[in-house]
Amino acid sequence: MLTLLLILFPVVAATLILMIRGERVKQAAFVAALVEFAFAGYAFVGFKPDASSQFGFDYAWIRSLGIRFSAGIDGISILLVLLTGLLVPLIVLSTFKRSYKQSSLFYALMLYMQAALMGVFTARDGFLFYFFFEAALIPIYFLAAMWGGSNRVAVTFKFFVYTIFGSLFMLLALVYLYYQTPATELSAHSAAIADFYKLNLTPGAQNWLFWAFFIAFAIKMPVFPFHTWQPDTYVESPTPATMLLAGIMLKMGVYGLIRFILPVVPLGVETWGKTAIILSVIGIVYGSIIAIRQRDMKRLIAYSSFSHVGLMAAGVFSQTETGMQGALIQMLAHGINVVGMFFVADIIFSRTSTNQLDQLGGITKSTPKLTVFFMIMLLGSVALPLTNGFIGEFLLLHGVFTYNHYLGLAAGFTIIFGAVYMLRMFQKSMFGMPSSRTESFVDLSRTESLVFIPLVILIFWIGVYPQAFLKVTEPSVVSIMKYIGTTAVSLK
Amino acid sequence: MLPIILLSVLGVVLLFLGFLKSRAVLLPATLLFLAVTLAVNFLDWNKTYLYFNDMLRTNNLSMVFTAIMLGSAFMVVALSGSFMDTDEAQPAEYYALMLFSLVGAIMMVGFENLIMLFVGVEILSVAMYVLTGSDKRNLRSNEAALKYFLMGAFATGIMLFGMALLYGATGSFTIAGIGAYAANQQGLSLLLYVGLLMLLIGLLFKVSAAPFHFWTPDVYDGAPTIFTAFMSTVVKTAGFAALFRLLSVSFEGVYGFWWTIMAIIAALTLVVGNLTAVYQNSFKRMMAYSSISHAGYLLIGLAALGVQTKQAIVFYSLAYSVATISAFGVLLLVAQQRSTQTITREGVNSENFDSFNGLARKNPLLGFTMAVSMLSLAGIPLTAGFWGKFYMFSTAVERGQIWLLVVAVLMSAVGIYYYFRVIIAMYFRDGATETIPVAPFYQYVLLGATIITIGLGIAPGLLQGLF
Amino acid sequence: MQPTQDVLIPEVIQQIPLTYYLILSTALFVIGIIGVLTRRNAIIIFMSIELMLNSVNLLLIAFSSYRSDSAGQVFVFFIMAVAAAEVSVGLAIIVMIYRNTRSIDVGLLNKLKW
Repeated sequence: MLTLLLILFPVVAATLILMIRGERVKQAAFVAALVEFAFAGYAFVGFKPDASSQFGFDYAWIRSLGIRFSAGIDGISILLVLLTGLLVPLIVLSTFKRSYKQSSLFYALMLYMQAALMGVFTARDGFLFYFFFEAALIPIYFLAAMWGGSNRVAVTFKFFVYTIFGSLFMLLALVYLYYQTPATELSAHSAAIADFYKLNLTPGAQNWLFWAFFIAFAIKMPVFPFHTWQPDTYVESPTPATMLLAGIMLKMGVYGLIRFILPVVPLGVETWGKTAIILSVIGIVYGSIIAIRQRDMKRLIAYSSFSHVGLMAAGVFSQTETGMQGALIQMLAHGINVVGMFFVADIIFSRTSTNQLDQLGGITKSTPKLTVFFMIMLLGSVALPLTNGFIGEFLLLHGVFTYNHYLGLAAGFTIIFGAVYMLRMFQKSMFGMPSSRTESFVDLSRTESLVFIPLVILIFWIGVYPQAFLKVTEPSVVSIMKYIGTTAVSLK
Repeated sequence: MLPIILLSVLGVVLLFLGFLKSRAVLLPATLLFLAVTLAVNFLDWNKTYLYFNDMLRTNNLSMVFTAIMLGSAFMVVALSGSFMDTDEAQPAEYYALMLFSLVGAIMMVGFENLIMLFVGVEILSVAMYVLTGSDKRNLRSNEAALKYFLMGAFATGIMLFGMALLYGATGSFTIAGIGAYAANQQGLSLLLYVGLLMLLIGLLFKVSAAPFHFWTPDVYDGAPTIFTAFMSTVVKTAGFAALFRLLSVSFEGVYGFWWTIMAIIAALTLVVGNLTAVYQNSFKRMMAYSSISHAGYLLIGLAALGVQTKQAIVFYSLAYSVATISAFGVLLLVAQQRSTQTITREGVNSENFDSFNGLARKNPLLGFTMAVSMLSLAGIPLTAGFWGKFYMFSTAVERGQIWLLVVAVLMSAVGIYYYFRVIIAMYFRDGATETIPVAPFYQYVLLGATIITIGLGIAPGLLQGLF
Repeated sequence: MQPTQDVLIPEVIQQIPLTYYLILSTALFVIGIIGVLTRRNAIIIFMSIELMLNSVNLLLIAFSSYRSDSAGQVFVFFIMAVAAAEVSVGLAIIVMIYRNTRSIDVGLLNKLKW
């Protein structure tokens, strides 16, 4: 039942918020997000570390088709549920200094988005998953297109069409899988994801299903060469929307890889997994190199996120337990880091009205707090040991390396390049001579620090004691690995 | 078959009500009549009856289709107030014609005999010819009426020839008799195939499937908007109900013969409808092409005739009708306001996409209504349109018609493009839109349509088990 | 297409094979279609449509006689009745257009792009 609460509460809260006017909207949204976080935290604490699906509920949705409104939390969902619950209040808090026109709509859309994301990460029915997967797109589209930058309409439209287009193929794949499940006189076919796992699909079908799913998720993440929508959208969107996009929404893609591609079409992964890893690794290197050359902070972070997510995809496709564990923990870590980074960029933009690196510099002098927080976020991003990024990237690289040494080596560049572009950004923006824009830079206010503090705590907590998170996910990962093993063996 | 009798009588009553001095009574009276008919329609629920010497059949399916059409007509009439207030309008006649055309539509839904199909099609069409040309002084309306009339009569001719051939082949006009003959499978007369083809062509004309669609954009564009809304929903639903009845009862035996044809026509309709819609500047014309493309989606369900088809077509027609009517409802308001600002006799400019610029700022309700119907037509989740497409696609998957699906998926992506033009214009562009005053009742109708669309989008199971 | 009950078919009709009727009606029907597609005068298009309908009538009556089944002839009455209704509406539309444009050439109707 808790899962139902997680999905429904933001919807109800958002609908109520639509009726509020004025400044109180922010507080109301923040309180709602905090309550949601309490639910998510409760789920995390009360989660029994085994492979079962917990806190679930199950209703008939379309009875005659056997489609069910069924959701629950298992080891793969739990970290993402936690991440979603955690980030949204922080994102809301990060907007306290800003004022957005039609603010009640703004915050309501954020909460709707949260509900849809919760739905994606907990759905146990294939069509329910698809339903939320698409439904998440509508609020984020309006968030980005209504409050975004000057070129927002064209850019967000491209983003929208791109992602919808990709997911339509996933819909076809789901419908196909649905009709492969056994139906009897008494019961219709089933769209339960667990039933998809049990199917014995022919290699030919697995191959095209692989691509149908892969394109949908690859566009969402994005993986090279499906990334062209991403940098523009990140830059043009208002920062809270960018945080939602980069912090949570791109995890939908990685989550889909683990939830669908690996266990449902293991033979497809066998055949095409290498292609997918190569594409991901190309993305890693390509994204890093482009990031080094960026002059705009937001754009740089966008490319770095593109590069990081490539590593996650590669880790998943390595089909190793460490790779998958790494992907799960890195999703949490990356969500935390990237939101922190975008918040830094937003703070700098709000004080100097620019994110161009050559117009910045010398900020450190007047801002000890910002410098420290920025540095910590950055260290997490470049995967310094004892920070959260290290755990994830290490596990991921280990997985890719086991799969293929050369690819592992190439993927390893992400750490070196990451250090290069991140430190370059830090140096260009924070050190050096103050420019006219940064002379009177004011340090963080209390609310702004309040956003960073939980992020910092988490960065170190995950970095020092990842076991708390890894042991929660492990049984589920093992059970997914089992599907890869058995189907591959039985058909060989 | 009370609805048919009731509507015929009430239509005549309406004509007499037209003699009253006050026009104000007409709209509520028509709404009342439709509501009564809608209620009466369900009297036979869960029973199957044959009426008029086995010429018509009512069952749950036909009642659901009738209900969809009556509901659509109810909404259209409810939105028609402003058009009927113009000096030249003759609301009594228009409303009566709408009721009469519904009689034809109901006959098309429940026919047992090809004669009834023919008479139903004609009753529906002749009334629509008149309504299309009802804006007598407007050349565009005239032209639309003439085109509609010539093309409609032409299609009727082809359909009749098909019926004659079928009669020659099978010796029967009843769909059951033809079905029994076609189910034999062996030694089927060539006349049957030719007759079936011509009958299909005639009906495909009516539902505007490519390549028989060319009259549609002109007619939809030229007709007064309120009747365009009526045409694109009621006529289409009736046409597809008739096609479904014909193909499932009479020609299931020769499925192997016609499914490829229907599949190709479906694909062609999708491609033509969607690609041409992209290039339109007029919203109304875009809606015409969009209605063609939706005919394509509905045809997928027919080409993949199976257990699911019935449900798929019902759901799709409902989702499509509701979304289309509320979109036209908003267009009516916007165009009316525009035409008071810039007087254009032919009303072209007021129906362009530009007219919607900035609409959502000053009129959040209208913007929201329009956005929901566009999302529904584009088939985005959370709206009824998504499940409509979903049902259609699953029928095709069940039959293994993957190539048709790939076309449909590509074309839905194209569809998003032009539906979103409206949303972008409303929400993200600046325009000189004033606040548009909306009568409360009008508002309730639009809100009702929006609620239906979202409600069915969240709980598509609501329609389950009805038929 | 062979007659089911030979007894009831009048001899005169039997002297002409059914195929002839089929060919004649088809020919008339095709002439009608060609007329609709090529003529520009609304009235002539209209006449061509009437020709199509009448070819259908002929065909129905032929089938009806050969099958000794009255349904076909009943249908013909329906077609004639409905066609009359259609004619009245159609002519009204054409008159309306003539009043506005002083012409019944469909080529002049180009306010709506095709």
